[in-house]
Amino acid sequence: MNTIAIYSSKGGVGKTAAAVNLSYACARRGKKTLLCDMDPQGAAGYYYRVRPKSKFNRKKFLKGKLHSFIRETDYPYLDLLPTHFSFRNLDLALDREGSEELKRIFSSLADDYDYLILDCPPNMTLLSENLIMAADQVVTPVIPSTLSILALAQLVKFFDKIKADRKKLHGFFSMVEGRKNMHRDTIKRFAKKKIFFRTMVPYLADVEKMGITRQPVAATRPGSPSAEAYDRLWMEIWKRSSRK
Amino acid sequence: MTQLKTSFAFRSAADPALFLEKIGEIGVVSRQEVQKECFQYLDTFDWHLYRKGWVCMRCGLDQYTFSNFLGSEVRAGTGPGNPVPLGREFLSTPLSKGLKSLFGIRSLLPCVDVERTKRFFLLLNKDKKTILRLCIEQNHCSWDGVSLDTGGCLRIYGLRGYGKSFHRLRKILTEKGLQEGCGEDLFLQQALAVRERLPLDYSSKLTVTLDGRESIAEAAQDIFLLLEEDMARNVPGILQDWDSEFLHDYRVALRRSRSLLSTLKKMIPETEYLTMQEGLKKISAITGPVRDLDVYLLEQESYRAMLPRSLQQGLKEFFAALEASREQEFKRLQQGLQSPEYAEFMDQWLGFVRKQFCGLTGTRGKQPCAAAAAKFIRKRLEKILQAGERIDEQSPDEELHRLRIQCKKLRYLLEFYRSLFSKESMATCIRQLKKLQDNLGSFNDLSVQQEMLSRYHEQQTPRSKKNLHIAAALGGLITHLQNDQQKVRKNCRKSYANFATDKHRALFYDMLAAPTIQEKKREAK
Ligand SMILES: Nc1ncnc2c1ncn2[C@@H]1O[C@H](COP(=O)(O)OP(=O)(O)OP(=O)(O)O)[C@@H](O)[C@H]1O
Ligand SMILES: [Mg+2]
Repeated sequence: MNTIAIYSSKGGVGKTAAAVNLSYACARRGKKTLLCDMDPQGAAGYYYRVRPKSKFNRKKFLKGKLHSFIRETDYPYLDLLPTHFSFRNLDLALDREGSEELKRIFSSLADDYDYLILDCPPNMTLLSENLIMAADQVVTPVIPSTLSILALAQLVKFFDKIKADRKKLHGFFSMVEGRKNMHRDTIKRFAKKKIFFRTMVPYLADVEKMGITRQPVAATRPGSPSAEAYDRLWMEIWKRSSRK
Repeated sequence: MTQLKTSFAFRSAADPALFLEKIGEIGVVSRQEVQKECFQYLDTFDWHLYRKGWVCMRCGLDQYTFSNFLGSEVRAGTGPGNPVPLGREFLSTPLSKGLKSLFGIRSLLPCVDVERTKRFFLLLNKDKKTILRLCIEQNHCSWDGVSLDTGGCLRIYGLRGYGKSFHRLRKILTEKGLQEGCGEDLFLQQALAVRERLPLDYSSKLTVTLDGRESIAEAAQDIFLLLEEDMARNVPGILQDWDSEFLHDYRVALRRSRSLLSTLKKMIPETEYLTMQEGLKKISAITGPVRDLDVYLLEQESYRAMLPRSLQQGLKEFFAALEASREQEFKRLQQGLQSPEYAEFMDQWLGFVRKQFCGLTGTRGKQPCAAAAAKFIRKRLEKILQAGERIDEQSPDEELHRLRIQCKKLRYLLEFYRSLFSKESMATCIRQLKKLQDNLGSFNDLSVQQEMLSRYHEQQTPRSKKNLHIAAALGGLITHLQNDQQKVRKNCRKSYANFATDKHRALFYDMLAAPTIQEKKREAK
């Protein structure tokens, strides 16, 4: 089983959009996939129309009894672990050895799934630290701007600080708008860097509309540029995951 | 992760609508696609698959699905393309993997044509999230110009994490009095209504239920009628040559009829007896040659195993020659069974059998069958015990053959009248007898085979190279069979001794002394 965390300390960069569409691409290719909504706002669950069961709580999550909270989406091979408000305090519950704890919790799912895709909340808390440590790959969306590049540099430093393996961190350019000079310049300067995946996700109305359709873009508009972009991005991630 | 799923069989044509209404109570029903599947159910004439808990479905020419009744085990794939495939043709395909025992020498016959309509539905909650998947299946079956809606079911598939809705719907439907869980066997059974048939409506085993109080004549009539039916039912399969067992079963029923007739000899007016005896004998002569050849052709594999590589070519040619003569004999058999003489005699035979008391007008025919049967059996048993005592390793072949015939006659009697005696004792007696029969039977088979091969050998004019090959192979076979026969012969004495122990004799006599009287269950036929 492979665990892939979609993470960024910044809000609104396209993490959830990526997690939702990448997990769909993964399942479409016949891999048993679990999308874990780690963000208490529950956006990933919202896109898949999956509400948490009312009895979900942190204690059970920590005890590793995840199975009974998982719900099937409308799509083959794709299940979802919904969030819950009590996630807000999950970081308080995890101690310094939290990543081991998380790994143990996730490993209880190894029989059922090929891939876990984590939609992480936008912060640099202890929870994020533990999620980063527990994941096999960390994928971070980067809006092509100077500030975002700075944030990425900070993230690399953060990896070093917590002694996480830098090699498992990759970025991709997200919400790319070709007509913006800033986007064009940033991409020109940084796109060749090893840390970036080749695929970029353009800014597209289809992705924005997911809030209304409540479906992954490839389900509403298969073959559309947005669907293709996430599929290609998934293939890059998949190649890395199968290399390990 | 085990998927939640269940099914509910329809009781009537109104059920699909009722189901949808009930389902509508827990969510919004969204119609999805409709699929049509056309297939045929197949089984052997004696329902071998069904007996083992399996059904076979065929789509198009050669797409087969074998599944157990509940569909928890399924094999699907390409199989033989002929309309009536032989069981053994499947052995070389992956379909038979782990299921060898399903495929024997019988052919799989189409039973009925099915058109299955599958209407898929989703059940959605207020977020328009799917919480259940549903399928309404309806079967429309046809055969020979008759077609009927035969039934169907609702299948419900739960989604992980949405078990509540699954259990809720299940409860609602169960409370409506619907039967949960339906297997393919139900649909097969329903489909057969088109042919006014039922699964397991034929077995090569004779099952007669007699009432001990009916007369020996009435009992004979019951048995004769069953045997006649068995013969008639096998004729189409013989004529179409679907597999060798039609002829085999036909001849078993014929032999049983002849044997029963001879038991009743003294009760039947002589001229009538002779006419019937002669007629049955003629049929036996018409049907014999093909069966004899079938026996060898079925032994092909074991013959092959008896000979070294150098003799295989000759054996192959020998079997090719046998196939050719079978083809000729088969034409004769077809003509025989379709001749006016055959039809005429069968009419006569039925007339004889149906005539009240089979024409057994004398007082003997009126005696209660239980007592008479016991007498017949006792007499036959005593003959065996007399003949058997004389058996040793030096006994001439004829004596062993005679003993074998006596045993066979006893076996027939036991099978005709088994319903009149204690079930357990009867089962043991038959089992013990069968052991002896098997031994004597293989002795006989071996000598018949040697004779046939020698005769064939002598008829050959060994001029051609091909004939030399055949002659060498036959020589090899005969030597092998002789050796086998000597081994079998050594066992005969012991087999008889095992059969004739004091304990077994007592079992026979005690059983015969106490017939069980039971109410007769007349089947509506
Ligand atoms: N490629 C895109 N094209 C157009 N709109 C996008 C794209 N990616 C994301 N969006 C939109 O931008 C908004 C923020 O995206 P998203 O929720 O995926 O970001 P996020 O990083 O998960 O945010 P948060 O930090 O709040 O969890 C959403 O309204 C989403 O529809
Ligand atoms: Mg988000």
